[in-house]
Amino acid sequence: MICPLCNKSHHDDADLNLLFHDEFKLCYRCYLKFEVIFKRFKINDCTAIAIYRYEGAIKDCLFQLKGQYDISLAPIFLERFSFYLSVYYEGYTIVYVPSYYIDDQKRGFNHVEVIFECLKLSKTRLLYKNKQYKQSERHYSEREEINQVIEIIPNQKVPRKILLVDDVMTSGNTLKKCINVLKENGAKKVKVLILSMVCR
Amino acid sequence: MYRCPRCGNINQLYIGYINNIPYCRRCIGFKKKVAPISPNLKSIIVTPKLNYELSKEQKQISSQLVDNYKKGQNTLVYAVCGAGKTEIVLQVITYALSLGRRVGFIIPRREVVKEIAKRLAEIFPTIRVNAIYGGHNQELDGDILVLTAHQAYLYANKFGLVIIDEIDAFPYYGNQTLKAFVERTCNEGFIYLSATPPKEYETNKVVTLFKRYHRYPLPEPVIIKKSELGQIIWMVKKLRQYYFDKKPCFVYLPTIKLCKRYYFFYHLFFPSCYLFHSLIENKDEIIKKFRNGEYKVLFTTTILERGITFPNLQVIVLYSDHLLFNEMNLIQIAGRVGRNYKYPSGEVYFLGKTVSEGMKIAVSKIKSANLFI
Repeated sequence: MICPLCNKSHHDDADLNLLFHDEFKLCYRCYLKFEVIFKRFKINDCTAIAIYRYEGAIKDCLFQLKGQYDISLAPIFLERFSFYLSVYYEGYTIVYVPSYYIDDQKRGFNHVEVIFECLKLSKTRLLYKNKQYKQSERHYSEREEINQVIEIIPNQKVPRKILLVDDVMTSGNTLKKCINVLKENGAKKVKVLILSMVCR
Repeated sequence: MYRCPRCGNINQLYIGYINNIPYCRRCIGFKKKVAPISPNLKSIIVTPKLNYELSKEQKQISSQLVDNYKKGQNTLVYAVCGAGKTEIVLQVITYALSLGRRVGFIIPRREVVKEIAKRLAEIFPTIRVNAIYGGHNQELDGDILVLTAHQAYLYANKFGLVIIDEIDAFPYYGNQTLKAFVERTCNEGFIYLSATPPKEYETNKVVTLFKRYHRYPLPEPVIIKKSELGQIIWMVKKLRQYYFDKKPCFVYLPTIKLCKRYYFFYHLFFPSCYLFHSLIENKDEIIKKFRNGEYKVLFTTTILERGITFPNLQVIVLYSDHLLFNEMNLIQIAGRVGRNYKYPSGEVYFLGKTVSEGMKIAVSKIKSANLFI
């Protein structure tokens, strides 16, 4: 097995997690560079969990995946937690926070979808963005403009229990909007799972 | 079998697939961008402006380089540290410019790029000399471009003459991607410069120059084998002596951790010392203060092993039996000493608990180079 980050084989890893898993793509040394926080907090009365701190190695990896289109890195983020998360969120349906479709076409894949592919839950695409709009390019005070951008795909059945997933959370405005849209359209229970969040 | 069109990678480990379309992961960090310039210039006729005369050997090698360039052969210039390698290539540069070809000067180290660009701009004041390195690559045009190896991906087939300095330096040597990008910049007409060339470059035409431009011999390193405590006492004494003689001094250490530790210990004795490594931010400021004489001693990693010229510098290498110091590093470090007309000699010390193979080879190579004088 070759680690996709450091490009070295990692047969000599002594990792306790290997008792429960067959093998990991990411070697243990590279995994230690990620800062795991598992932070719990509330957004609009929904429990949310953030797995990593958005800093250092995780930032670089996400950039390589999103900005440089390196799809080989997609499985490394959640492979160690996929089993536990699948058990913890059993019965929920994954809904992705949307990105603009032209960006996805340029990339050839949707980065949120490929990251959360390893969770054994049912998945649907419910939301979409109607125009090019990047939160990261805006100032914090302007970020509430996202309200006009995110919409729900019409004529689709909204499941009762929803797990909303995203890769990076900064201010949380996008997530708030998504939660509101979902609740207005008949979702009973919404939980949030975020790969990484900015902690200040 | 997929072969990357940019970096020529055929190793299947570095190849990923998006929707069954292969892509190269090895050069993914380099943007798919090409400098918006044409490969040809108008013919420019300039004469290099130098304040000093070149020595006889330098002139002879200069014309030899022009001959090889006319034949389209790649040349390796094997010259000792401080022989004046930059001055040797000036004649070829003027020849290439007169043919209307753009000249690329590739150096792996960023600090050296800045210095060489400044020097070339002084030598050729009438033409555009541009330095390009990470964080300074908005203006991509120029007649002579001085760039780091990481920026070479911007210039596929844009140069008529490429000079690669320090071919054995860290980010370039052994990096297949950078090598592929550098080789793509020009069809023929490479000139490699080095004081410690690796073996695989010896298949090119080799030109040697074992004399420094001031005709003094290279300072020969002295190997001192001492215990750790003995080294500390010796160092304090030696640094004290340099302090009173007003000689600036570099102390080389293998790792950043050791660098910090030694700095912490010695700055109790010598307040005018400082440390220098890759993680430090205000590098220019420290070098400036060292030039002014504010700092007398600099504890440094191998980041300052090449391309740096200070008058009257003395060098001490601690842990020179460490794995990270091979003979190339040690020869380069010893070459920092005595590069000035006024101070053609100096002292080099290799300290260690044991004497490694690299130390022996470095000393013997320097001694054999001195026999040519």
